[in-house]
Amino acid sequence: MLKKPCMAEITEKTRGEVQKIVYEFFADECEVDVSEISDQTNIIKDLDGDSLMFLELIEIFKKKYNLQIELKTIGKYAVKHPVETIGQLIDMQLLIIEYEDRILELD
Amino acid sequence: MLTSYTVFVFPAFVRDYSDDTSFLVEGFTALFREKLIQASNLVDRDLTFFHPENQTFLDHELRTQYIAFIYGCSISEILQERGVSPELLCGYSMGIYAGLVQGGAVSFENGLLLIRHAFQEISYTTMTGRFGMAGIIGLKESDILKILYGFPMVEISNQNSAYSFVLSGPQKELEEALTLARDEGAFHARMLNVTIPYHSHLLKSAALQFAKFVYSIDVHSLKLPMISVLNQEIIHSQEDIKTELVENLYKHFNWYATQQKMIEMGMHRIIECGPGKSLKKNSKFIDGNYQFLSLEEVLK
Repeated sequence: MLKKPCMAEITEKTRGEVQKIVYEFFADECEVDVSEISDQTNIIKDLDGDSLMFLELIEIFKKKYNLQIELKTIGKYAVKHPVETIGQLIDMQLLIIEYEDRILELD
Repeated sequence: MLTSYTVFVFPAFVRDYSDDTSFLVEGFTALFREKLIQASNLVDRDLTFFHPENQTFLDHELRTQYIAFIYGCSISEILQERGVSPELLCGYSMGIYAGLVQGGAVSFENGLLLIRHAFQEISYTTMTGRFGMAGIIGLKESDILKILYGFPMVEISNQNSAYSFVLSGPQKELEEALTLARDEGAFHARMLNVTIPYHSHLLKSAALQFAKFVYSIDVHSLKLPMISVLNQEIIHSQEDIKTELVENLYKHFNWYATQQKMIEMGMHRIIECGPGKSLKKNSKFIDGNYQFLSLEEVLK
């Protein structure tokens, strides 16, 4: 089990913030009403999402939470833990906020 | 220094028409059909069979270039009829031909013939092997260059944003490089649906043959400045244009740097003269006070 030195604490408030950003981002990008998005929404099949959107979203979170993590680290994690739904994306984003560059050590 | 603020950008070739809203704009369809028939009579009779959902048609590399060219010219003309004029032109890759037509440097007919001749020369040069292009998203340039060290025939042919690159080269080597890119943490590493390694040294001999045609046709100075995607300099004279046309086939370009330069020049309104939004999507990674718009968005 990985210890968590100096890592961000994920509170309900953080989870709510992340969820709101993700929902609003995809609603705007994919031109759908935010009420049509849920944690079960499939990013590619339902929203026609793509990797550029994923990249843009990560940049938003890197700036907002001042994250010290390289994109390729997230890419390596995502290869082992593929994300299909909005809910999975939110969970992964919370792990990135919590563990930053140490996220690969979770495996 | 330019003080005005609108640039028309012409995409290269488009296979996805799902974002297209041009047909909603009054007058577009009639003008597009008129130009399509004109082009059909000159270069390819089958062009009139174009339909945005005809995948066989869209998989034909030369035809998709013709269609993007006709789209670009039609959109630009409609915009100017409605009083929207650019202060700058920019051709993304093979979008240069439509840009030159709109800038008055070459005729619509010669634009089509340039596309045909370039494609013919490239086809002769690449007929002995299997080539292509690939996209990588999520790695830095330095990471990609390390990967390419083992593949000397593959090169970065374009940078779309800080973490989005296009590669050109032999197909087998590209596929191997993509595997390494995925291992290195790329979010996206896939072959593009083209069989030609545009903007790579592999096309240098084709470009030299193409130059014979470029220097045989009427090319006039541009009425509007055009920014080069190769070096971000302003193109204006006949000689600049001819050089750009030839080098555009085999030299790398940098779309990221070109967008940054246009914004620095005060281009606050970037209009994508094509049926898709692919260039607009890439623009999101550039900060600045500007809007990236489609035909319909401009005329709303």
